[in-house]
Amino acid sequence: MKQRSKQFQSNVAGWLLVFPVVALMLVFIVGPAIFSFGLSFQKYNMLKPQEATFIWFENYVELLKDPYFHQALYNTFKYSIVVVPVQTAISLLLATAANQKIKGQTFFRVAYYVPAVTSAVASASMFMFLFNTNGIVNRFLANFGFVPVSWFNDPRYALPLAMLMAIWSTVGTQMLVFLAGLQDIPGEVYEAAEIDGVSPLQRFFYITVPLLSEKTMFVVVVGMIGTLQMFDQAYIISGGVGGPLGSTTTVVLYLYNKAFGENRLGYGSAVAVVLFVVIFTLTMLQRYFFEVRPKRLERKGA
Amino acid sequence: MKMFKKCMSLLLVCAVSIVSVGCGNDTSQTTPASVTTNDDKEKEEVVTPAKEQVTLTIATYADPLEVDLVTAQASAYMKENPHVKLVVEPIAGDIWETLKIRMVANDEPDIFYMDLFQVAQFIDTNKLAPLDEALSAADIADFEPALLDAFRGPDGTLYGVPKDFSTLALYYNVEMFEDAGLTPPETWDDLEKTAQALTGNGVVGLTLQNGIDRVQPFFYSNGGSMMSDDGLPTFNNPKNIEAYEYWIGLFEAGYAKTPQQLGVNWTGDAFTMDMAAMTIEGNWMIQALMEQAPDMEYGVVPIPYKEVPASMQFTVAYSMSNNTDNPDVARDVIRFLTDTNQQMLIAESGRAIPSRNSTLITFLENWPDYKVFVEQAPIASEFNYGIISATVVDEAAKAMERILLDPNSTVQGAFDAAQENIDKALANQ
Repeated sequence: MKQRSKQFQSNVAGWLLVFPVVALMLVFIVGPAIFSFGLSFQKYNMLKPQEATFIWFENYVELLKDPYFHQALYNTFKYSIVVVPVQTAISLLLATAANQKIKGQTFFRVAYYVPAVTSAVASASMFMFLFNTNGIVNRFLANFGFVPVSWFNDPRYALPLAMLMAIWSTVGTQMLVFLAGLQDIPGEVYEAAEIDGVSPLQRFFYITVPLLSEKTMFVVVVGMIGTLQMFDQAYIISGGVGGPLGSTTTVVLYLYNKAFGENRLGYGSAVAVVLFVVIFTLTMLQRYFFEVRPKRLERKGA
Repeated sequence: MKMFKKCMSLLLVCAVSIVSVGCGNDTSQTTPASVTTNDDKEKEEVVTPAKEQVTLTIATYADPLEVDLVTAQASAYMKENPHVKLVVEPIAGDIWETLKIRMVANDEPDIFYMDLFQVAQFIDTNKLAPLDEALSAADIADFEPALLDAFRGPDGTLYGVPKDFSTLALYYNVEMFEDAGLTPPETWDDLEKTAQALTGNGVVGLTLQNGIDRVQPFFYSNGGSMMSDDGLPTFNNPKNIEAYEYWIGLFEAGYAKTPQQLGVNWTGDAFTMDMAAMTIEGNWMIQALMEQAPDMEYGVVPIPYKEVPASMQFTVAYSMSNNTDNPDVARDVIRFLTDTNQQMLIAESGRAIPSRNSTLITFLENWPDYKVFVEQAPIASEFNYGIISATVVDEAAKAMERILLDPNSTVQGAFDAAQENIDKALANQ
């Protein structure tokens, strides 16, 4: 009995301690999410809430038929598929490099991390400056006989530039995650490998990479969620319209323009729900491949 | 460890300074208007002890010149009416999105700027209060009817009192024209020939912003229209398509380029940097020219025409929230902000063209460069496409971009597709 009341007491203490965070989450995250789910089944004009009508799945039907949405989805996936693997690979390499005992190690760690704390607007402005028609990049390329390109106005280059920008600004954060992972790997493992005469490359691929898989999972999932929600770079590059030729229209930019440009909060919520379903499914799939399946294989092997 | 501590304290100091700078900005934005001097307070006690203190918020664009002007006007009002406290609140970023969100929360400012191309949706959704009582018959006679009509609802109720307006005209670089022995173009044919003659040696004849807010005069000059008689957008009017074919022809021939193609932010930069000999812009470019190229000699003429001369107008008004606690005071503030004396301040600032005819003479005495723009007012079509104006502007921009960048697209096809999306958006309102 005494045991039980102690358990109860510690439960109460626990809930009391997390109460502020839970309350904030309920009010600002869970509540709005549920509300928005309800909105997605309504025709809801932001300025005429009193005229809202329940229309079941009409928003979803219209959404799935809209070619602009298809393009937004395509752009977003293209962006995600390039950015996530590249930024994961680069941040892993950077973390390995920054983990070596070399001179100026702290400097490099800070230098790689600075882009992550720069605001997206600032870094986008900087890229626009670099890739301006009269900008540094074109001047540099002109030395090799290239004709100046209007990078941000060319549908072929606008999205790749947004990718470059995202990779540049996020590798720092992910490097930190990997760096923490690297420092968790016990030194004995490497020592044992050294005694067995393993080459540095083998050491990296057979020890570092597998032992980091949890961190990799985290980085990939967070990276994927972040890229599928890409908005700010596209907004700045295109001035909000998702151009040139819709090449930087992402799902969230599409949502923003529908909800706040056309006042259609219901339709915008439907976009948000679809995006949520996509992200949730992909995250679950990744979890399966990174966590569930390896464990099952392990058990089978044993 | 010592090093670490030092770093941390440095970080903390940085964080604190950033936070305090942030606060500093906040207060500096709102305080100027709410400063009440001791004099005012004394007067308040003596003259109007019975009146209740009222606080009203006026939302403006976050443009320093506008903010200063409105702040000065607000101070003048507060001096005359000590029981009223006016807070000027500049809204940075997308002011319309901010306004809409705050309207949803019933937390909008009492008085705010209202752009011609946004007003219809706010009238349609009953967010604005009638302002007919703010103006007397004499006042109404002093405004250009077209300016007022733009802010009237379907039943003729007035929902905004224009504070100023702007029109479009053609700017040209006098030196380039003199060197080439050319005179400013008057017709479309002239424009094409002049642009052709001036293109070369790193200069392009024309720099044009490829959007509805610059192309529209060409539509109207060709006998086209953006709105049907019953007030619905008609973007793919055959005359509009014909006019746009002429416009895009200038680009295809290489006589015209967008500022983006020239690698600058806007046409004003291309013009002051001698990258283009001509551009079509509004009167706001005069200020930019004074700042960026004070020695540059430029001329302004009406936009070249085909069938009839045409321009377009952009009007900004003061509107009052339907939700304000003090409609009578707010209406009086709007009356004050748009009365002859205050319009004189706008006339003197040279920011935009004051909306009252009685102030235009002073305005033109102070700012002779604006003459052409003032003269465009009677032939200017509106930058206003009803309740889905924002969608029309976006769809037009997308269509025009497609025609410019995609060699497989046709003007007809792109305009038809845009019209289809516009109709769809209208049906969904």
